[in-house]
Amino acid sequence: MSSFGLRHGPPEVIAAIGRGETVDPSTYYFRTMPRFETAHPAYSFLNRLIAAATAERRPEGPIYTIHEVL
Amino acid sequence: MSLPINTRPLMVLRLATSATQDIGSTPQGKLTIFPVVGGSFEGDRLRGKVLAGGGDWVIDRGDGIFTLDLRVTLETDDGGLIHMTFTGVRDDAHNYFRTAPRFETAAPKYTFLNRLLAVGTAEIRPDGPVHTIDEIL
Repeated sequence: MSSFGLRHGPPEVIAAIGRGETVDPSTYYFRTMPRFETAHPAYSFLNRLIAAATAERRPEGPIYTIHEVL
Repeated sequence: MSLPINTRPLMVLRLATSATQDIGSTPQGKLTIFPVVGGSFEGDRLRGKVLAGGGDWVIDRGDGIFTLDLRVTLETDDGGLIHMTFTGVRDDAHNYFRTAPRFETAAPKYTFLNRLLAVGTAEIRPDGPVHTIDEIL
């Protein structure tokens, strides 16, 4: 899996994320476009789709909610 | 907990291409280059024409999927230049043709494009491909 993404928002929000605070994800823009490559037969459908993700930077790490583009 | 995803229309893009350059079977697949010679785009926030000189590098992977790799320059009706790229997947057997466009511009009116991700649905029409591109909110 690889992805390209963008994260931006008001300076005070980005600064709060930088300090490791928990920030409401609706206050900034964090989106990615993941791509997948696999040889595993059960997951070969991943080779054939485009996906988009909403993401959230939490103190313990980022969480990506990945949607298949139908 | 999981964040929904929403979109709003950005533009409909029509591309005009000239004769293909059939490179043939390479280690990556069967490569065909579609030179872009023109076209148009239109949306609520921007509209204009596609400049000649771009192209779409299309690889037939051999598993029923064509991958796209496009670079074009858009010129808005008020003179702004926008570099647009996308990669995409086309699966004719499943009527699936989707792209992930990106934009780069220095034109002040259109810098919002530098800050967004987008998704495109596309279809092949007799007069060329038509891409409906939505901003990811």
